[in-house]
Amino acid sequence: MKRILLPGLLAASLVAVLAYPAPAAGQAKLVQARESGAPAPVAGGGRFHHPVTLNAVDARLGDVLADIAAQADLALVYGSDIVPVDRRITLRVRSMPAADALERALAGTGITITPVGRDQVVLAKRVEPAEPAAPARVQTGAVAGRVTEAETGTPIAAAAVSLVGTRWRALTGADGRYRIDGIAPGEYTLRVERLGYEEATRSIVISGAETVQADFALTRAPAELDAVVVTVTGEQRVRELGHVVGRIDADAVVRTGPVSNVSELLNARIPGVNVSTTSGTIGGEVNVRIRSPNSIQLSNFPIVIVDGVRYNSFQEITNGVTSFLIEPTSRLNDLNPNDIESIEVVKGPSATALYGTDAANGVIVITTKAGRPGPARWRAYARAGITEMPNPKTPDIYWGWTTGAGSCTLYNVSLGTCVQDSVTVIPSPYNDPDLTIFGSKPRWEYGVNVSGGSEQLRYYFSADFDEATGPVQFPPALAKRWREERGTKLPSEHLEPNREERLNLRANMVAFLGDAATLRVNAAYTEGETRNISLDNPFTRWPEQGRPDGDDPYGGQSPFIAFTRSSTETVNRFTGSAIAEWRPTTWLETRAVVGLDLPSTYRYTLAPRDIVRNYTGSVSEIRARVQSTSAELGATATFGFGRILSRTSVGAQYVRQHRNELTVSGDNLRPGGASLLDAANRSISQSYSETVTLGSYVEQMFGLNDRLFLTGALRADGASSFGNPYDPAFYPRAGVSWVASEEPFMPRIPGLDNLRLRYSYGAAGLQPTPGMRRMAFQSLTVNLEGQTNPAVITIRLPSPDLRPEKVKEHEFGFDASALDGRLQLDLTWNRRKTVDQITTVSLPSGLRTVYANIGLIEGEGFEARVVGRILDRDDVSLDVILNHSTSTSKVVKLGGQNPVYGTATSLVEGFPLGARFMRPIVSYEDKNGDGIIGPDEVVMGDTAVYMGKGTPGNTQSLTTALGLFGRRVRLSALFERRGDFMQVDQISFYGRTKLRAAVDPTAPLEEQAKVIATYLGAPTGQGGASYTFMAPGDFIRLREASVAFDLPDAWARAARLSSATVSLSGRNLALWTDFVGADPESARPFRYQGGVASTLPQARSWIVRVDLGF
Amino acid sequence: MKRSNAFPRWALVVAMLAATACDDILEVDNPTVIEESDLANPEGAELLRRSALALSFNAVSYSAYNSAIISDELTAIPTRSTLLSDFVWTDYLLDLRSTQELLMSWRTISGYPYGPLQEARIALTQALNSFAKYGLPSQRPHVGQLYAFRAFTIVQLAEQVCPGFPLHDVVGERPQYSGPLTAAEALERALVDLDSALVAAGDSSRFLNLAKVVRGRALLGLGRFGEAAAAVAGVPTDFVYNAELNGFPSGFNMFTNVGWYPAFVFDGLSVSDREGQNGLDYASANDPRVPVTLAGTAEDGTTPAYAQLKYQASTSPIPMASGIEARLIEAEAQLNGAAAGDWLATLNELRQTQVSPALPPLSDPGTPDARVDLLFRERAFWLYLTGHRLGDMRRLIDHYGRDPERVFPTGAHPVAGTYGRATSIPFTPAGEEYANTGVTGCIG
Repeated sequence: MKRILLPGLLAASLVAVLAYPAPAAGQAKLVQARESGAPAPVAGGGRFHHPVTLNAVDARLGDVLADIAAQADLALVYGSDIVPVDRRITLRVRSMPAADALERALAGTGITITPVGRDQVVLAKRVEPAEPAAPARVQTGAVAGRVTEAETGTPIAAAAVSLVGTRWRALTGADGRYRIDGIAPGEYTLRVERLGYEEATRSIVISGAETVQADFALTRAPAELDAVVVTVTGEQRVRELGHVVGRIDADAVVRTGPVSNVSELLNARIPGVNVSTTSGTIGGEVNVRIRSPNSIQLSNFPIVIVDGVRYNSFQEITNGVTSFLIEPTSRLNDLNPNDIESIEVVKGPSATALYGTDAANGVIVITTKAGRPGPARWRAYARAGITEMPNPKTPDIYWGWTTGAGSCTLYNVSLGTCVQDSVTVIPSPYNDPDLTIFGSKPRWEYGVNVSGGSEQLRYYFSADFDEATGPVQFPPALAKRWREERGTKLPSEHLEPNREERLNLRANMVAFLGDAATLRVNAAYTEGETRNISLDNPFTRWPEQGRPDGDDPYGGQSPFIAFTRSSTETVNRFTGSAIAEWRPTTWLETRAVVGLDLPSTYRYTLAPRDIVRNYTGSVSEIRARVQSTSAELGATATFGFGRILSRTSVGAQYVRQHRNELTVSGDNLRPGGASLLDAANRSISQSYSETVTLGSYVEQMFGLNDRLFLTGALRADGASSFGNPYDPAFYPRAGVSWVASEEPFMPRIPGLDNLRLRYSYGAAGLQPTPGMRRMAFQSLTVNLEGQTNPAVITIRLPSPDLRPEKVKEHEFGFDASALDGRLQLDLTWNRRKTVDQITTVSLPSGLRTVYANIGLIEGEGFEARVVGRILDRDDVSLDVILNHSTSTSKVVKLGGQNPVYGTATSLVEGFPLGARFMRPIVSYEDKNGDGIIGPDEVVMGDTAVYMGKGTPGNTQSLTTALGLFGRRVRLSALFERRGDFMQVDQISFYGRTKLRAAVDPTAPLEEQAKVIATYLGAPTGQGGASYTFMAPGDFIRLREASVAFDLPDAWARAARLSSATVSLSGRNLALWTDFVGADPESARPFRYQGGVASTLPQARSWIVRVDLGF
Repeated sequence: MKRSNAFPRWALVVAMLAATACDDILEVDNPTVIEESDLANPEGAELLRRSALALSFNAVSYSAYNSAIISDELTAIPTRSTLLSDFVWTDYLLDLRSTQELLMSWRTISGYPYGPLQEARIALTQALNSFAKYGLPSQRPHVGQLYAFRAFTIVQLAEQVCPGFPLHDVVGERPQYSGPLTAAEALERALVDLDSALVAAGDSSRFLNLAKVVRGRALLGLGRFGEAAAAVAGVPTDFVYNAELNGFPSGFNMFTNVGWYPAFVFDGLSVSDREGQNGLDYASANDPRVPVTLAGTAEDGTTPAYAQLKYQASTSPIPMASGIEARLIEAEAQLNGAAAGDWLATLNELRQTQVSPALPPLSDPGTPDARVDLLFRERAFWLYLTGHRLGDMRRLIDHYGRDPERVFPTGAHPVAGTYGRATSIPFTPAGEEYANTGVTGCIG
């Protein structure tokens, strides 16, 4: 019986849709149009519903209309030859919506009432549609016009223009113009929709072979109620959603900002979305977290969907050669940000339930640019700049000496093992241009794209080449020494071990198949090469390894070891999707999506022999082939019943992800050897994983008066990792959205445009990785009796009852707009709970582990977004965006597991995931009066104490944009703050025997006690909480700054350009922090953990960009 | 009319989904995953046997290395990295024998050798279970081998780990938990396995001799000297059963002789020389059974650092049981039994025939305590770095009434601090609380 649950739900859902009665013609029109004597429309809003009070007795209709318009602050547009203004009417109403009052006033006149925008209403004579005639005898008309941006007057391309309830539709071209031909005579509502803009409608009458002119000026609506966003079930207006959706208008950011990849595009623009880059190297690891982490054992990375296709954003983490760490490469950044139209972030299970299993961490929906009708429109751009590393705060190193030979630290002195007679201080090599490993390096990018097409077929093609060198280098003095000692020059991959090249190609096509169907095909190819290694050791351990002898402050080993190891990863990636939409009737929309994502990576890593004494070298090759296949079918039926709107969606999704990785490695290389054939010892390993998820969903939304929306949904998933039989997992969702300000009974608050309250609840899952349920074995090779034989070892006992983790979330918030849209405010609270938390249970020694659903994690957060237009004059404008978010998670239950204490990895009931614990210093005292602190003069606490969160508990970002000279010159700055977390100073920790407090007897006793504490270990049973250097990591960063200049039109025209923009921008330009380590932001997080600041500081870049349209 | 035509298409879609949304569509095939069914045959049992043996060899390596540190075979010296490297720092704590600090540090290094010994023992159990289900008669000697190995791991636990450790097992796929055991109780469990080993080994002299020597060792641990001598009777003196190591570390740190590294003194360990007053003179004795070289001095500039040369490669085999050990067991039984006069002859026979050049014969020191000292010194040199010395030092305390402070190193440690009083390697009861086994750690 369990086997039919999944298709059964889907079938029931579809049957529910199909069981709707075919709507009568009138019903269908009620949804989209309004006419006298008919129920109110569902579209429209703003002042149209403002309450009015009238006491008109035998009054002139024109006066009554004027009164209504005045009370509601509406502009009524009508001709006095159409509206019988001298007609006498009586109308007494109290706090009635203006719409209803107009309807009563005009009852019996045959006048239609059509709201346009927020504050206009068009009154027109209703024309009864003629009976359908034979096509040959019908004289058809046309509508044409231009769609522009209300604020700037610039044309808006790709806006959807349609006659509501009909098959007639068109998209605007690059110049914002559109035309729809072949329209049968009649009265229609003309609607214009465009992502990021408020929807606009207008009533038109086609009376014959004529062309009606209808221009629209759309208002930008980044957070407005009638903006359209992409959901699982298709495009929906914001006002219908019970949850918040973060949105980034990518093109506007990329065109002038210091943004080189998707992670920089995502960073600090949406509250609750936290992007961290592990280090300042180029092409390195990127972590994206939305709200608080959910899982201990599974991924906390959101899923990424590009043009309807699941996009692999995994990061290569396999080392291959285990002797050193390789910097992972971010696959998210394979996408070219110049190709992205918009990014929408769906933040939590309350919104992502319909995305199903794996969507608990949120969903990032990326839409790439679509073709635009009209002649080919070219755009070319070039970027040039430098990347550099700000000098980090690194301590000088100290050596203490004793008579004879050897070093003598204060610790040794206190133990009586040496007597110190001198101290040597070595300044930080990072301040010496000959010794530093940091340098300024160039970066370039060139790109071109073209879009155009006809009404039937549109295209967008792009090509982009990006080349960047990371801001690290082999120390010049050491490179020189190498040349002198060995007589050869270091190869470029050692001199500049961090470099990236990337070629992106994209082709997007849209075909209109008849009147009711469209087919969009997207294809992208990426070829890239990233050379990167972990430079943690030379950076963080130089104080430890630095020697006072010779001229090498790094100890003669670190840079040689790290920089002479090279690791290069190449990627070839194809991503393609086909999206078919078919509207067989006016009330039914259907959609089918198929897609492929095929990233193949190859990583070659070499650690040559004899770089340092006794090192025999190692080499590895890793080939990973990943295949992600997505397919989706969906249908949405929309009906109106009086004032009620019904929207029913059903669908099914199939996702298959397959990864096959082959690693071959070897060590003990022959002299000069660089291939596996040169290795005396070789080993091979293979990892293979495959998951299949099949889900079906049904969603029902009811709207009342276009003000109150109730949504309920359920998704059922079967997945390969659920085991056989496949018990489906169910993910419910419910949401309420109420535009309270449009309710007639709501008093009008001066200055307030609208106010919407919203609430949603939902659950989404995190499925176990493949094989978690099974007893796990591993193949290996053993030597027995002189022969090499295969063997099998048990590595994990089975967990037959393992279930997916389920994250349940409540979200509540409101959106408000005031001062004619000059001020927008979104506030959102969320509370979530991860039940059935999968935890690795360590069984008693020898029994290894099992997985069990035993944990419970809770989290909560708050997000606020304020968008304000401070100045809005023709010559000057000033916009401000402030984002704020807080989030925290708490381990509620570990299911009897022993708590884990650590500087970054703690799992302790009652404390945040990844909290930082430390053994405290209770007291210290120089008891023997020798001026130094010894081990027996420091009293340590018996138990570790909670120090703080491992990841920022709150973040803020402030964007200011100043427009001058009619916005031809634009200056913007983005500041980001992260706070409420503790960070570990790894440099001091590793160099704890070379700090001043470890060597210099004149150092403050408090500092000496900190050093001594590092020797005294962790409290009993709290092994990870050994003392380490820890401090608040709060910081403020000037993340972005830019100045952009649009060349005057005359200049552009003289150069035969349609537009020309030049910009100068910078990234990570300044850092304000009290943290004593190098950079509190740079850390290598893992799953829920915050990581420790052991990686290179964030790099700074300066970029000049020229963007030309022609 | 067009509208009505759309319904059958959707019905078709529903039908297609219904047809495909069955179990088959969710089936995945992973060629790299080994299913239990793949092992449900004699070949599967053999695969499990091999890994169990390999794990046992791995445990032997860790056991030999760690027991050498806490005993008087290896010692921590004040090198630069002694205080910086977590690995060597732990070795220092182990050498210091400070129980509380050992427990604290032990969590971070997987509890060597306790963890590897338990892993090996349970893998041996799983292999035995598989042979019981799927084994062929021709594989029966291997069953004897597995029993002998399992007994060996238990003997090592009893000799080196503090009392209170459990002997959990796997029955089917589920854990079967035991409570805490004393060393004597564990050794009795080992004897049961050895009985089975002797029966199952059949005519495999190699496995039989292994089982006999391990049995002798277990009985020695129980103080049953006569039975111990009887158990090893007939084991040829030139017999040796080695732990084979391939020197290629995997994710489990398997198969590497962890004590081999000839330059390990640079990481803070040296062959001991009269460590803590009571230790033997391994480094300065110039005894061919304990080959050493002076590698330099410690960071203090004075402490000599000796590197062992017994194991010169990561693949160097470590003797688990040998005919020499059998003779030493017989000698101890002779010293403690009626044939006391023969013990010295037995030792001298070994010195004459089992090492080249031959060592000069020993003379009777004349007193019972001195004889015991001499016997245990001979054992220490014959069995250097094989995981025997710690058990011997504990037996000196338990069976010969010696004061621990006269057996283990005491006084000031050359790195820092003062030697503690631990006489065994502690274990951490990780996972025991979750499994509710009642095991809480050392009980003595």
